[in-house]
Amino acid sequence: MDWTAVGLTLKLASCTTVILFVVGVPLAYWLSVTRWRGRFLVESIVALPLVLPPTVLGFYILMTLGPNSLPGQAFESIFGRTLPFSFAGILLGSVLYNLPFSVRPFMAAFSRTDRKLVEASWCLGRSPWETFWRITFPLSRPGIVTGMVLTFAHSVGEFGVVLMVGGNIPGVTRTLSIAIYDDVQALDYASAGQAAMLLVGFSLVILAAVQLTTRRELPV
Amino acid sequence: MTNGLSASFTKRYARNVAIEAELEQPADSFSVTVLFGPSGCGKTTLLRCLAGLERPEKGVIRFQDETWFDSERSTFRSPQQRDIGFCFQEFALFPHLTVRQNVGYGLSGRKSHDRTNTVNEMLKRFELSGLGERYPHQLSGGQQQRTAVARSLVRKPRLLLLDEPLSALDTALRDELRSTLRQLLQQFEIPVVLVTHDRVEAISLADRVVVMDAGKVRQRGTVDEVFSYPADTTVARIVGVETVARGHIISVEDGWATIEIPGGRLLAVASSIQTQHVHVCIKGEDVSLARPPEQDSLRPNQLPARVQRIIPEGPLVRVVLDCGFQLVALVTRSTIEGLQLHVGDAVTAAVRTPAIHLLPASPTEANSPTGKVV
Repeated sequence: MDWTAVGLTLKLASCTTVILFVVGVPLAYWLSVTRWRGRFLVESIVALPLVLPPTVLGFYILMTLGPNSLPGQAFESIFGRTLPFSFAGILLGSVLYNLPFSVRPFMAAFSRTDRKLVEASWCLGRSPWETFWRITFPLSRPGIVTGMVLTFAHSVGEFGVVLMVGGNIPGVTRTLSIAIYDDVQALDYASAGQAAMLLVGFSLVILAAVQLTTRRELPV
Repeated sequence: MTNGLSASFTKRYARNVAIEAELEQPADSFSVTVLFGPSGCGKTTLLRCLAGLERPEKGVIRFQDETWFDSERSTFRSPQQRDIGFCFQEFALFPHLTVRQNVGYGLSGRKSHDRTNTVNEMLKRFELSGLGERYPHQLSGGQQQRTAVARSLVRKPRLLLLDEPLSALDTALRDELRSTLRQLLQQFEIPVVLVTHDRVEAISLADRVVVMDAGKVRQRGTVDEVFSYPADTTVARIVGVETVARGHIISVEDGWATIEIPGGRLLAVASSIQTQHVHVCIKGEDVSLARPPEQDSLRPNQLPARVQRIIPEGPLVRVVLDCGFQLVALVTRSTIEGLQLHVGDAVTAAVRTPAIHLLPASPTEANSPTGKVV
């Protein structure tokens, strides 16, 4: 078993989940309350990775952030290295590709919150910020947990974007799913089988846990 | 500057329907103004405008010396800045917080000791003392309602707004709470604006009534003024006068008017009626029934009638009569049994003379249907 790959995979998934929590919660809340007409466009962009092949997303990340592009050169001049074939690169790809898996459950949870409860909180003198943290967020917790778990599980199994942006550098960009692909290419079926079994077991456990917690957290 | 609440604004709330609100309410002591009208007449939207949950298109809302809304100067105070209590129709209790946490929710920024005391006092006043640690779904309807009212009063707001406070409860509980609600609110010396579509609720809770229909204020006044002397036929229909019939005045003598109606003649207090054509408003409870007398000797305001329909309504029975126009009587069940009334029977309907209320009518409607059952 390639434990370096396992560690790297978990690191990638954790970082992706944390970033998407920080970015996704405000974005989803904004989408759930805004009356702006262009809202549907933002929603479509968020949902795009659901239908787009990962290779397409990976291709565009390479194009826009590669050493020949302006953002890529800016990144290189600040951090002293290029984005492709680095952990930061695959993390960016993973975040973008998992956007719908966090933002959409978050959004559904926020829009399910009874508007009257929010208004009741306002009438009791609480600011919109306090109202969010004391009413909307606690009541949306099942949906937020679901979104984060889905994001984590999905980024553990991510392949296309990681391969396009990161390639196959052990300890840097070689995640578990890349390792499996690599093992099969090298006809090392035993190693590939072990890693594959690990992923199947992990995914099953995660999904079962989500089912259990969401059911328990529903109001009686 | 007024020392109360004064509001005059317009707000679109449904397709092509705009609310035109005019309100005055003294603010220094306890008094209940009831916004009364059929469902969908815009009374809840009006209440939400007062709370700052909706923003009117045009107009002014002032409270004491503050301007809450002024379209000309683009002034708008948020609900947080208005210092009000608002009770929602379905109570809107926070499901993830206990009764104690719900009631104490509005007390931010106070010392926890002070806060606990205030909450305890409120729980005691609203008979919730043993229920502080329960969650809303573990409470009965009446307890939920008391929690909601306690929560909205805990900050000692300057104005309390109640949206259909009893409509989410079942009938028995509603009857019980109607009487206690006013007593509960009376302890807090603040003005109350309450929205309801229930006539009994309006009568038993209100000091002043504002009748609304299709977004417009139709009449304002004391309970008596509005319910016994509706300003026009629309108000009469809304406040639940069962019979509104057309007639015209034949003569006025000593303050008594003789009115010709399709089935005969009625005698009524002429009051300030100036027009010849009138709407005659008769409440169902002011009509009594008897078997027709042997001879043809009807006294004033007794009308020969035929029973068209008998509709039981709990302890009372609604009897629809044909006496040239349609007349509705609300009588007790025992009256029906005593008279052995059946559909098609001939009866004499007697209308209490002082209870006949005349409203001016325009002569152009002369050919419209003569009677209306509401």
